Amino acid sequence: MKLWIVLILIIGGVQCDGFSDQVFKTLNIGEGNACYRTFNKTHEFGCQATKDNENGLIVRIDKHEDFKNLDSCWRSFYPSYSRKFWALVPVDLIRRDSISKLKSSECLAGIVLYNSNQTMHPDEKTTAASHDGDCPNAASDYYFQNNTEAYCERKFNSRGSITPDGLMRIDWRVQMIFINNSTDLDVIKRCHSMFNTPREDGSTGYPYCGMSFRMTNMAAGNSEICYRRGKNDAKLFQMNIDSGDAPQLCGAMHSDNIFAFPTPIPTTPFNDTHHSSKYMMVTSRMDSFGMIPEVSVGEVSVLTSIISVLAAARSMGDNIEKWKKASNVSNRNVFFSFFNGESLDYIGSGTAAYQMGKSMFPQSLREDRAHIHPVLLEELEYVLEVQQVGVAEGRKYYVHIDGDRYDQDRTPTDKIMDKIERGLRSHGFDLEKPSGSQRKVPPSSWHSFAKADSKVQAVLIAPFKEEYDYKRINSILDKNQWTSDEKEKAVQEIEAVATSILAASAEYVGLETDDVVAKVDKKLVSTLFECLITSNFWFDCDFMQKLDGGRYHKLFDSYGFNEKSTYISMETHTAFPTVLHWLTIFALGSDKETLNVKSEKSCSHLGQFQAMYTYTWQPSPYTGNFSCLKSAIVKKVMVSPAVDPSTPEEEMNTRYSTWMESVYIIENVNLYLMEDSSFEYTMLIISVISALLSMYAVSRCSEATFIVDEGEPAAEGGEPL
Amino acid sequence: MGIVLTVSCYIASFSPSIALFYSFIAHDPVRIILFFLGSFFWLVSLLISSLAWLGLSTVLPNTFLVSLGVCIVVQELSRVAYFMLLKKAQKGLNKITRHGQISVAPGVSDLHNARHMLALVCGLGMGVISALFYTMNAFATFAGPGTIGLPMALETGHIDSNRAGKYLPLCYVLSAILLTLFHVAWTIMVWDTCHKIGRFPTAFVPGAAAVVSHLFVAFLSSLNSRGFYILVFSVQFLVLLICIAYCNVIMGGTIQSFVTAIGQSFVDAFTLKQIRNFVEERKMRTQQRQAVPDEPMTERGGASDEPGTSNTVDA
Repeated sequence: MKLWIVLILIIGGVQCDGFSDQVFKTLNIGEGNACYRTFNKTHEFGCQATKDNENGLIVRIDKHEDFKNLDSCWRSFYPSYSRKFWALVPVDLIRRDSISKLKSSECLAGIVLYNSNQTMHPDEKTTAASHDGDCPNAASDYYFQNNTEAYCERKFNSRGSITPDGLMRIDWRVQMIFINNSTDLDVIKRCHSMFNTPREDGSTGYPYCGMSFRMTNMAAGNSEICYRRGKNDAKLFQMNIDSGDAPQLCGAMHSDNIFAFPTPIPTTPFNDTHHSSKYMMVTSRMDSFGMIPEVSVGEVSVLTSIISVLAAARSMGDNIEKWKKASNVSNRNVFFSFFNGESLDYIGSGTAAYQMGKSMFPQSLREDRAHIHPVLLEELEYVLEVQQVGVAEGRKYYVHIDGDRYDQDRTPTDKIMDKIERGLRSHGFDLEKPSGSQRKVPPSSWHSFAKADSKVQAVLIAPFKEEYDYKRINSILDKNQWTSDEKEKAVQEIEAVATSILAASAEYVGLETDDVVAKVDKKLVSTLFECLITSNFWFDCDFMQKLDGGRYHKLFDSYGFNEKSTYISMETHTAFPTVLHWLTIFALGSDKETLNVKSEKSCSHLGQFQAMYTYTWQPSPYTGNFSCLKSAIVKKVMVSPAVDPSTPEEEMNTRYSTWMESVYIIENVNLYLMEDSSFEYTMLIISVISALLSMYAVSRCSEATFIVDEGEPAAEGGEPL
Repeated sequence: MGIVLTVSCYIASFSPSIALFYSFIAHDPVRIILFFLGSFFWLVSLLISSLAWLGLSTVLPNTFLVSLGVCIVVQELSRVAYFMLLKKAQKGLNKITRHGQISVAPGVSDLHNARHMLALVCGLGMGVISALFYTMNAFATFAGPGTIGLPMALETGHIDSNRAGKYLPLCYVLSAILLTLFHVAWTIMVWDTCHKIGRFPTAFVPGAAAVVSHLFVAFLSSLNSRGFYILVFSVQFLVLLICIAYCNVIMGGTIQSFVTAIGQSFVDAFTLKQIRNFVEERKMRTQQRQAVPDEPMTERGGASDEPGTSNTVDA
């Protein structure tokens, strides 16, 4: 018996892969490295594998002139090949004049994108490389939805956009992958150079190097169809009998948003709804996207602005007693919001506005205990946002406000703008205040709140006036090689903007702006710039490694967990929200009251049943020593009400974002040798000949050919052996 | 490549097997069982060879030649084992297959003097399964977009100049045909030795010839990777012809009759004799039907004077 078990185990242990290891060179493609389907209420975008776009011969497009081969389908190079191609294209060649060729080509199976070695400076003005449209978030614009403006009337991104609607809003016929791993890229290039590069006489011949890739989406149509099909009652026959769940087809884009309250919000009984405080929300978005959504570092789209807000928060945290005192006296509070999904029709801010309207922000009310007073829309007076910090032309910044609201009560807003101007001037920057044409707010989180409340004011600090100067907003190329001068200037800008945030906030809460209150830690700004922008990954620098303290784990084999990505994604598959959460706790957390707490367990016990405060066992990024930090910071997943099953009354309401993502199955890239397919027909003829010959040869034999009487009695008796 | 290629490869590879199966096995349930039993014995030999390879690879650095030798010996031993099993079972089989009142399975062919037919049936079973194992991964690959060779080429920096390239499917097809027919021949030869085991030393000649030719053919196959495809297949085909001729001798024929039969086959093929016979037969039947319109359907055609009733192979 034991012998049998051993035998079975040995046999079971043998693995057979057939010939695949001799045929294919397989390159692992993780989640997020490929283009997949996304949806809004009316359309589907992105890529889908079909029979036609799975396999192709690898070709290279290294310079702009190579696109002319796309028109001729590389006939002059590969005259005997008539099927599709996978084009190896550096991302910086995705331009206005090339994108139409890529979109319309009949002979492309797919595009392999990679970062070229050429340096890209933010000063480079020649190339439009934004993967967003002319009018970011045009459909969710307050002025458009309020019928005071036509769709996409103000084209803020027209200088930078590659296509008017943006590359993420294209329903591609081809597939697309992004190769970031230099080893994998070298393998593809080597395969191409060995087999597909024309010889010295210009000729090519079989075998060619081919490539196959398949990314299958589960959903199709638009988010409304997807949402409907995703409901359990629509998938009765697909339901798992054991778990009662139906397989997921798609999901709403959602991720963590971070809200930090430096000054405590008063607690209140459950049904008390009087307006106890006024608020200024200092905000910056934490997401961007690229034509392959996950591949989006978002240096200027996101990170520089976030650093300025973090620097302001850190400064506020250092002088928190003064701020608390001023807030208590004036009954005005400042809080920080890092919204996620803002580049996709304001997912985070739209949801926050909805929750404020329902008295659910920052927490849902609970009847069983005292809770913090919800922040209501009526209480929100200002939304102060910073955008695109670090790429100002010269030393000039602009402040954007909504003219109609400003006109209702100019004085407080004027005072705030004056403080912003003083803050910027203290670092040698000018501020241009709004005039006639500037009295409408560019795309920003304020639009979500403006749609929900008629009084909330906007104050947007940005380095552009009527159009973005930076041409890589929401782009794979929003990742620059900064020179030391550019870096120094960017750090100065961040510092100046952080100072102006502090000055504006101090003005709002009634705090005298002095050197202490508005002092920004320049060293911290430089460190964060190095760590979040210059470094290749979030945790590459010493500061972030100490802040991590061994807490970060790459949970998935996804682009967002292995590379810097600020894309929102469907299921928190990026590390950035965690990074920002820890940085916010570092900026505003305090261990003054928890010095006696010496373990993570004790620290977490302190946080139980707390309405306002959270207690986090986190190391100092300077020393690496853990301590229990008390803060009022909420990390909250926000799902747009339009696609949130828990808010059926808002289903597909276009006031909110309707962006959804398909669930997809991603396969590996396989490289292989292609042989001349004309031999198929030769083999067909050979098979027919073989069959005819076999029939003829066998027909020459009969039973008697093999039944021979050898005179053996036993054989004659029926026992031939 | 594509599905067409894969289907073509399968048709070309297994046409001789299908023709043999249709002509000699398909009509007889007992032979079908013996055919699949042959396949089973070959699979068992493959399993034992694999385990031996696995064991040897833990001990020896390069086990290819040793494993190949072991594999061939195990295959031949499995043929012997199958013979011994059948020998034990033939009394029972005879009861089943014997025509008349005691037959429990009317309609099956009886076993009188049928040891070579049994060898054909069982050898074909072994040949078909070995050819299937040899080709199916390759043919599955041909259905996909690529062919063999890229990983090695990327590793070494150059493509193997001896690779079969686009003719690789043809190489597999020819190998599969040869392998199937070789197994039939080897089984006839080995079983002849087993049958005549008492007649030392002449009885061992067919068995030894089978083992030697098996080793030789396997060795020739290993030369394929060096690019001698045409030479290898030519020699293997020649060896197959010799084996078939030898089997013809075992079955009571002579080399002369074998050569004559092959020559006659070519002549008949070129003169379209079978087509002419077919046309004439139809014409004769039509005439007979017209001459005797009311005659009930009766069995026609004598067996004695039809071609192919001699004890030798015609082709």
